[in-house]
Amino acid sequence: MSYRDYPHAQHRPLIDLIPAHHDDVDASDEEDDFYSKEDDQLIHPKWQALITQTSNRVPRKLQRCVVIVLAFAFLFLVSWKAYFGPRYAAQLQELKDMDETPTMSYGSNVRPEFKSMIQVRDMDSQHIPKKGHRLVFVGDVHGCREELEHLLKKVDFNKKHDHLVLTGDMIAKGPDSPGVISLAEKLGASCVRGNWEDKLLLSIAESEARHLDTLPGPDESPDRKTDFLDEASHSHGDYALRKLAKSFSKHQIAYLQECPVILRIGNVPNLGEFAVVHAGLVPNIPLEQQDPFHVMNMRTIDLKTRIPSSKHDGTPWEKFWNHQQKRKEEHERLSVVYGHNRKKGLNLQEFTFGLDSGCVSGGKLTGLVVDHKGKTEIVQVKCHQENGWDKD
Amino acid sequence: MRLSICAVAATLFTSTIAAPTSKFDSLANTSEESESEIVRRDGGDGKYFHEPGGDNTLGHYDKRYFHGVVSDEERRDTQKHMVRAYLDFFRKNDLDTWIAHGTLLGWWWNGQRLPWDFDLDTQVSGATLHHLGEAYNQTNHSYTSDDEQVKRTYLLDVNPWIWQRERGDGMNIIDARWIDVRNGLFIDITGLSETHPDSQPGIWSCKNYHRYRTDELYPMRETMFEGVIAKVPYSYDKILTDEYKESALVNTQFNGHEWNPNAKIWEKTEETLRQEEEERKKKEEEEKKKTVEQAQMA
Repeated sequence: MSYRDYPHAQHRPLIDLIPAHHDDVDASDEEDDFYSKEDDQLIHPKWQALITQTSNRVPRKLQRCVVIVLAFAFLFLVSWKAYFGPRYAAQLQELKDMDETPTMSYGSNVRPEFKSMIQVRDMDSQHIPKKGHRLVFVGDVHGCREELEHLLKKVDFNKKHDHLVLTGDMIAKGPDSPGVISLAEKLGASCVRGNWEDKLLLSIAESEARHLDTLPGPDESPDRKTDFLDEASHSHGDYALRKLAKSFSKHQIAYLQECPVILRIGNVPNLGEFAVVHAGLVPNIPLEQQDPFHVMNMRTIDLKTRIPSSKHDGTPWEKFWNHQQKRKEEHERLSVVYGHNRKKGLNLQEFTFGLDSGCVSGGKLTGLVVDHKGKTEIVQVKCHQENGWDKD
Repeated sequence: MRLSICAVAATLFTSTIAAPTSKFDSLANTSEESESEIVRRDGGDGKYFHEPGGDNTLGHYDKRYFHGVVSDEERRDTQKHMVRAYLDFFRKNDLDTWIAHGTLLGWWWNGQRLPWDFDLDTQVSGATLHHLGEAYNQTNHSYTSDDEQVKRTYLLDVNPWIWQRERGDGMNIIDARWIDVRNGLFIDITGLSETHPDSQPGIWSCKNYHRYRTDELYPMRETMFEGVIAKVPYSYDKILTDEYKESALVNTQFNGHEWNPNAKIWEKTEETLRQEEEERKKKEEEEKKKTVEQAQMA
């Protein structure tokens, strides 16, 4: 079929194609129907009239307000459901867990007893601040002797009437660990055993013990000359740690061995009882009963079992500690000065004073100064090595 | 050149067939007459240490010295002296060992064994294990208690499969035993080795796939266990919760026993005591019946 088969289409004018009776297509605005409401509407005209009537009575401003309020309410509802609600519930649960006494709870075992480790010791009561005397607590020094000297200068430390207390991890990582211990000895400073002191002292005890030096492995003598590559063991212990151990004099090692896991400070005027540990304490367990490993390593605590852990996520032990202290009678409360948690940095709460502000990794060295009135002051110095000593 | 390749291939082949897999050995026994003359200790299954049975009770005796299940009291007395003798022997000979598994858990609770534990577990390093095999295998050790009331003899028996540090067929995951030759109760000794120093350096593993990091184990801590000097790993808490979960450190009821927080010991619950009493009575009655029947027969 070709185009030519449609001759009419070519000759007939287009106007002819418009229908003649267009009355039923056209709507005239002269008729009443044109202005009347359509039948198929959502709300019945009666109701609509009612709504218009009332809404006309409410001022426009108020109407806008209602819309805004509704929008906010919707937003609040969504965010509550998605974010704040679960958080609030978790917080409530945490509070409940902290208040409840679990049926089976950690700490009824016999506390593990270790050779040459002092669990608790009392600080000499003559160091409790009297008029003009102060206590200076300093967090993880990690061999940063110069910064410690700088800090002591800044607080105007005087050996005659001030007493220095180091919260553990005085050694390792930094440039001058023996120097820090020398300074501590010279000043007659008190100390606690941190995880690094613990590791170092255990390592020294192991290398001093009689071993079959011929056997390879982490226990072997560091002086071993021969090294058989085809031996089953390829880890030859922590040589870096043993090298560090050799940098201390016998006297300095004896000083470190005297550092207890927990140092009881005694009653500080207007502040109550104080204790110093390196990492933390589990509430409601006597100091003598605290597991020494955890006291030197904990960061968080599982509220269901009350077992502490060195992991970062979970309920911070200090949160639980503060919660518990508030519930106690005033004379039963104990404030804790500690270090260890570099990630959280300076962390001051009502009953806990976290002082590790990461000096050795380029942060600051923090001192807590307590005077005879119980006034506390935080003094910090910036640490030299911008990028930290522990990176290399 | 070709000859040398052939020679290498031949040695490789012989070393392959010489590998003492149990399957191949049993084949070799039938094919070669000289081999069959060797008296095999493993009974053909490739297992070195044998027990009189596989259940919880019988699985904890050495078959060679087993004369019947001992009473709870005898087992506890045996274990107490056995572990003291073991730790003293290792310390006197400058050998390093430490307590592990259920024994470590018992130490954590009160420095003693768990009263329901059928066997005791200790660990040594792979190097120490080989030294034990070379210098002390099949040696007897006599022991006298401090009060000189108890005299015992123990056999230190090292599994010849200690060269294999992987699990293998699982028949020889226990590397050595310290056996009380009176009744066959023992301490299981397992060695830890760095099995993959190239891909997993610092990971120590026993043949039963218990894995530890060097810094969890070392430096070890000196402590007391059953009244004698013993060693435990550096991160004892982490090792315990990794193996037994946190509940093992808070659960005060276990295996028919209850923790007495005042006396700090594990005690049998009343329920357990009642059950034991019933069983004892039942046994007595049965024996009575038997004697009566025997009397009637006669």
